[in-house]
Amino acid sequence: MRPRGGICRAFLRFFRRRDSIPSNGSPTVDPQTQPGLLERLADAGDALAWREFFDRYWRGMFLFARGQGCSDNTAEEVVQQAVCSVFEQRQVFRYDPSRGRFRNWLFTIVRQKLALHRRSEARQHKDPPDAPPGDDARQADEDPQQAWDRAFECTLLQAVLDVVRQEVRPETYQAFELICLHGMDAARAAEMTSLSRNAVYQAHKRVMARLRELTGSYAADGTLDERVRRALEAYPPPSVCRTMATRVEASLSRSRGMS
Amino acid sequence: MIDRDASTQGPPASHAPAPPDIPDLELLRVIGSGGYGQVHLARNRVTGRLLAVKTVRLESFGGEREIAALVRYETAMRKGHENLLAIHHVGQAGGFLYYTMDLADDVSGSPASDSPSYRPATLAERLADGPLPPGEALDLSRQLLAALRAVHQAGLAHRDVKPSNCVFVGGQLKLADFGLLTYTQGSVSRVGTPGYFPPDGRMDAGADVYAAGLVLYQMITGLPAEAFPRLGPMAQAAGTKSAAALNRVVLKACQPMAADRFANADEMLAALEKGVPPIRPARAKGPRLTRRRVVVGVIALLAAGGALLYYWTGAPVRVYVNFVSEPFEATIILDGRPVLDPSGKPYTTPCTIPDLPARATRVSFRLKGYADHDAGQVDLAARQEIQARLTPRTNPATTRPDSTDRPDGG
Repeated sequence: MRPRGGICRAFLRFFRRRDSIPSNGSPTVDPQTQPGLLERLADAGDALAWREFFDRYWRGMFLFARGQGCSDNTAEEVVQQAVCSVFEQRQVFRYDPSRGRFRNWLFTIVRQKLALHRRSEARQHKDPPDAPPGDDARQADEDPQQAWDRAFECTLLQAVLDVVRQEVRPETYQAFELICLHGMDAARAAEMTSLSRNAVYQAHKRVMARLRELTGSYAADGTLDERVRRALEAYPPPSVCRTMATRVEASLSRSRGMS
Repeated sequence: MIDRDASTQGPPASHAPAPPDIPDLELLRVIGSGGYGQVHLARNRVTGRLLAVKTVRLESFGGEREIAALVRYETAMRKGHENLLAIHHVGQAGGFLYYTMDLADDVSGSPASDSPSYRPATLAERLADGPLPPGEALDLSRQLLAALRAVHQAGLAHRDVKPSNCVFVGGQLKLADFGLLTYTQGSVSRVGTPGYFPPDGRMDAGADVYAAGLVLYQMITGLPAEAFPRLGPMAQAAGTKSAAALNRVVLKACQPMAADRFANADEMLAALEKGVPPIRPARAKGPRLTRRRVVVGVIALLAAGGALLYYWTGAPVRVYVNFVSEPFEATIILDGRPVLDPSGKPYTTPCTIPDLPARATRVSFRLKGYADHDAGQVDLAARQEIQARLTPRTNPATTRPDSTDRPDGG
């Protein structure tokens, strides 16, 4: 039961590849490489490409915005505006691997949208000087670039976890999640899953081994457990998953209508 | 970017074909849509009663088999079932098949009305607010399974069990949307809502029970069906026995192999009432080598080995020996060292020294003014008393050890 590792490896390759590049604020596409998705995004009508782009990047953008102190709703808005911004700039894509990664260009866009949002919030709701800062005004202590990388690492590990989830039996995955994410003791995890305590330990071990196998170099520094736990924690809430796609689809439809 | 729970939905109302003109019914507005048709809020022109009307284009509604299944359902349910949405009338008009049903409560909790804000209360709407308490999830699961049992007993399979097809009428859960209804026998086509298909893809009565398991999963976790078997934040509150029991039912209902799942809705209902049987039956042959048994076995082996080792290495037996000398007050020297009593003073004759090792020991007596008396190597295990006659030092030439205490002298 392990037929889907290929998907994961493709996913990992995607994030490791320097597949596109911004140049002085606008992305570039180099025909010598295989820009694939980014080239297809130039076609506003290629709904599949835009869906793929959204599926790959929205969680990372959302996690980053949340990590910067945004509420779920604000983070959704930031993602929505960033996707629309990419849509508006699709015609000027030029791929040039020497200039950086598409993800980093996306990072500048998301940061811009975040800054714009904060400015407009500050204008609309002038808090009295002694008012405590709201959620959105709270600045994260972490370096934004690191936070961005970490958010995308979480999405990557979530993709890997989703692959493993399909490969193993449901109770095996649950036992792993209960121990790894929730720190539950084996007896309680066994009660939840109908497994013996020994089987719970074995399940945790087996899933971690498979994750190590799939993530390769990520396991090398011995922090995979902690990173996996962070990725498990970082799954977006179901309500956001439900609304995000509809929201962005509606924005893109409007943008297509205008262009 | 598709809402997966709505993936069987058809085109939006604006692109859908105009609804048919149905005798005696006024179609007010569309309140829902599925893969094969739309659900309208309608009013009976004669009685004024509000109803839900599903309209399906005949060419898109499967074939004679599906229509026959719908008719069979309508016939079988004429007596009514408290957890199935009653079909009052089935008919054809303007190239459409239509059937009328009870109208669900309003999502706000108030009774159904023709107000513009009316939205049918479904389980999906309720789950949008997050997971349900275990007691409520259990109750709603019972109702859903009771509905499925009735459908299956009629020889039919629903094939589209999901939260948005569970509506509330008068607060009671009722299974709705019979657009994919078919006969149980010989029906394995892959229709329904993605995310609720069993892995083997057989969309029969067993698939309904699998989907009911996923609906229960959604109720206890608040996560979408595609997230199965993730537990998410629900696991934090899963300390309660009832939540754990429900999760075990979900795991049994949603096993990847059909043979490991509940055979039917009755079995799942029984598991909800009495607890879940093991997902995989225990192995029949021989006792299982559990962790506990291994540990107990290892401890027993170690203990036995230790005892044997102790025996073989000849752990010394302890003995009591009496020491007597003439005159008294001689110090007893064993292996060159005086023997001390518990207070730290040397034992002096006559005395009994306890707890001596039962082995060959060199014994001598020492008294001031007398020559040391060497009793030689004595096997303490073989002697209860050792005696000595001490000789004064005054005439060393005549002094000689008494031979009565020699080991060979008895």
